[in-house]
Amino acid sequence: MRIRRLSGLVFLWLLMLLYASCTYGKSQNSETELIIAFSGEETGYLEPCGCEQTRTGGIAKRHSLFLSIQGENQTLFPVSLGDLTNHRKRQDEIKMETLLHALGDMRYTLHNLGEKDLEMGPEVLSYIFYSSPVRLLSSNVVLPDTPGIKIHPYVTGEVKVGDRTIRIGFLGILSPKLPGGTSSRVKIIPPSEAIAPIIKELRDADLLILLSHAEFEESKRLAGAFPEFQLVISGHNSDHPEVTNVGDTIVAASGNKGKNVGLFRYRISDGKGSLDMVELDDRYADSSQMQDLLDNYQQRLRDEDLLGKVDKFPYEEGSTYAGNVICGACHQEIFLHWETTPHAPAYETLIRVKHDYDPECVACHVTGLLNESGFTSLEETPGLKGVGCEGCHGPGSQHVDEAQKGLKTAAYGKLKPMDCETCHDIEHSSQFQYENYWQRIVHPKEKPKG
Amino acid sequence: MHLYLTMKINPVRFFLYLLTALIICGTVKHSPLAAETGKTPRLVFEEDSHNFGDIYKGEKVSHWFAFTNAGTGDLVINSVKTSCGCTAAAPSQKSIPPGTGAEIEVTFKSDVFRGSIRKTVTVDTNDPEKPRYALTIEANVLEEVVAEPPTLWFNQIKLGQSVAKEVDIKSLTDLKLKITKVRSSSPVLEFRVRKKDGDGSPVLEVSTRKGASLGRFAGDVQVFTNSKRQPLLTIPFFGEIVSDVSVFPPKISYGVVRKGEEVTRQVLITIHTNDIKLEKFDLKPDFLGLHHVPDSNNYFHRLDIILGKDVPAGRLEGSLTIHTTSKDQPLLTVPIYGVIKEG
Repeated sequence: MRIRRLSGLVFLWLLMLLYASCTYGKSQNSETELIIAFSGEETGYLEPCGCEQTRTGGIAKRHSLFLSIQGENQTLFPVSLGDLTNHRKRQDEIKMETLLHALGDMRYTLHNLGEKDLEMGPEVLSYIFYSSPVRLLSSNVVLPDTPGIKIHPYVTGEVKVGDRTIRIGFLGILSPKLPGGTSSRVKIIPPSEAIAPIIKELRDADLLILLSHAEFEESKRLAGAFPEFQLVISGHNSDHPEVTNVGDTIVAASGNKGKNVGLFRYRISDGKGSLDMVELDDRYADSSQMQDLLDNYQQRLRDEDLLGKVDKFPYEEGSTYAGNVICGACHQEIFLHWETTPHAPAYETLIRVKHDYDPECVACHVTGLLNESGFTSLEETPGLKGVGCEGCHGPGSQHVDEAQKGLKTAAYGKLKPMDCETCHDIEHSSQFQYENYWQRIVHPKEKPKG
Repeated sequence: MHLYLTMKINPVRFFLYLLTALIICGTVKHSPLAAETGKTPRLVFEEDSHNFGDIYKGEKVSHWFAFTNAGTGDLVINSVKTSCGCTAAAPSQKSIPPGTGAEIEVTFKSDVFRGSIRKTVTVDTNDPEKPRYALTIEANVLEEVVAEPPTLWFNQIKLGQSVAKEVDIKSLTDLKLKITKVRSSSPVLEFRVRKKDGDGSPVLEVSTRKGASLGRFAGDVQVFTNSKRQPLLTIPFFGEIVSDVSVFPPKISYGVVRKGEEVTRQVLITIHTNDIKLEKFDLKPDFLGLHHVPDSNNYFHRLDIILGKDVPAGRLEGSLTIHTTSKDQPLLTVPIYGVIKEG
């Protein structure tokens, strides 16, 4: 009797396991799938800001996702929509190199040319793509003849499943509306004109996919004009995932900065596809392989001394930074209070996470990095490390001069809540609310000086 | 099936077990609190989208999405997420008792946009029926001030020469536009503002200085105007001052390399003057390897700089020196950096 009861319990447990496995997700079923994973418009977003409590996106989480979905019955085909970086300064070139290295390690097949990629110039593209396993795709962009660079008008891939071979064709376009400052040597063919002959050429493909670097509406129009595509991957200024159907074609955007990854699941058995969007949140750990790449990137910024090469503008009113010690000479009580606030050790937090040579991080953890006479390095300007008095109130040399001459200086340093948002923006400080955060740094009022 | 037969469990019991398993799994998946108390919240928005219509670039606009809790349990706003740095969203309260309402304030900053935009805010709650809502805001961002062209692309400029470009600064409203100040962080550029023949609108003349030093230059030109909506206009620029030969990248950095790993970095050498030849390459330290991929047209040479497997751990500092037949650039030196760490 006891054995029967026990066997019943075991059976119940097995049933629960069976139910859980059925509801876990399509990725766990036993049917053979081809998965086209897509991301794009990273625009230099290698990793989420460490200041954020909720960290979303980044190459390290993306790699973990890919490792988790590669199974016996699944073949993964990651593709990139375009726009690896956003600007074309030296840091962006190193970012682009790092991102492309990451795509290669994650076995991306191709990268569709975006307008920001184009703005990097043919020489940089040639340098970066020369030895990369990731192929550069564009069906409608013609670059001037630059040795070492090859743009593929389409890319095909084959997946063998048992006796069958599934042939996939990828096309990629860049909307002619997008390139603003691109060199006149670059020719952009209207997408429809470029797509039509390639579709004819790839008529034997089992699965045709268009990577459309264009606004969502333009991508939908292309999906309507070319129903041969089963999937149109869209994206430009598309900051959130979006999915719709145009006839039988799925049109999908995964959003920007690589915070989400689209997974198009193509079932070999019936040739049908479905789509999932995966948000790369804390469910995904940081892959150690990508973390090594990120460490490497930080070391390169340090080696090239990019902190010392930051663009610096003169401060509008012509004042320069005096430093906390000078401020503290007159405002002792405030200075002592400041030392207890989170603004004071802001630079040390960067040292702890080894981002203290990254200009994009340092700008909000020191005083005046982007202005002449502001922070340059710990050695040269130690008095400007951390978010000091002048980090919020602005350079104070004129205020000091006026005070020394006994002039009234009431106009200096008045702030509005919006001034905090220069650093406490949604990307780096999404929980920021002026009223609450102000309480963490509000300093004691001084008695009026007689 | 085989398992069932050997255990001799009768069909009624089997059905009961199955039912129990499904109920347990379903309960775990959904809200345990709701199951325990029998009270469930229900989020009802009065509207889930808002169109701001035409707004000007630089404007910050807000909208309050009102909602009520039409359920019987407390409604908890777990998170309100925006995927764009341009949009902020916050609920007026996080816990809403049944029968009461609150608002989610959504603010959109239009600084970097133009044309039609559509942004989404995701609201996650403990509503068991629909735990996730998407709110949408739309707008058409107009520009009061535009630059044509929007980017300055100088390409390659020979050392000692100057290239000038013009940018039309236009107002798309009836504002009589004036440029109040122009500045750039780069010493390469100089500026002059003149009035355009005809309508008198401002034209910004941007030229490279003849004495600018060799190398790539990039940055932003900041144009301050009398527009209150858009007082600052930013024009990105890029170019390169070249002589007979140029090298990319300016520094070779291996970053952090594990000992025993072989890493190759490339160097591109571009010959801008036809008869210039590359004579030899010196590489320090000696343990670095070099492979030259010459170009038959003597235009685009490639060097592979190889950090071998036997390199000792520690800080790597060295240089690549390129000897050329150029009178102006007989030697070009590229610093080399890296850190080789154990294991």
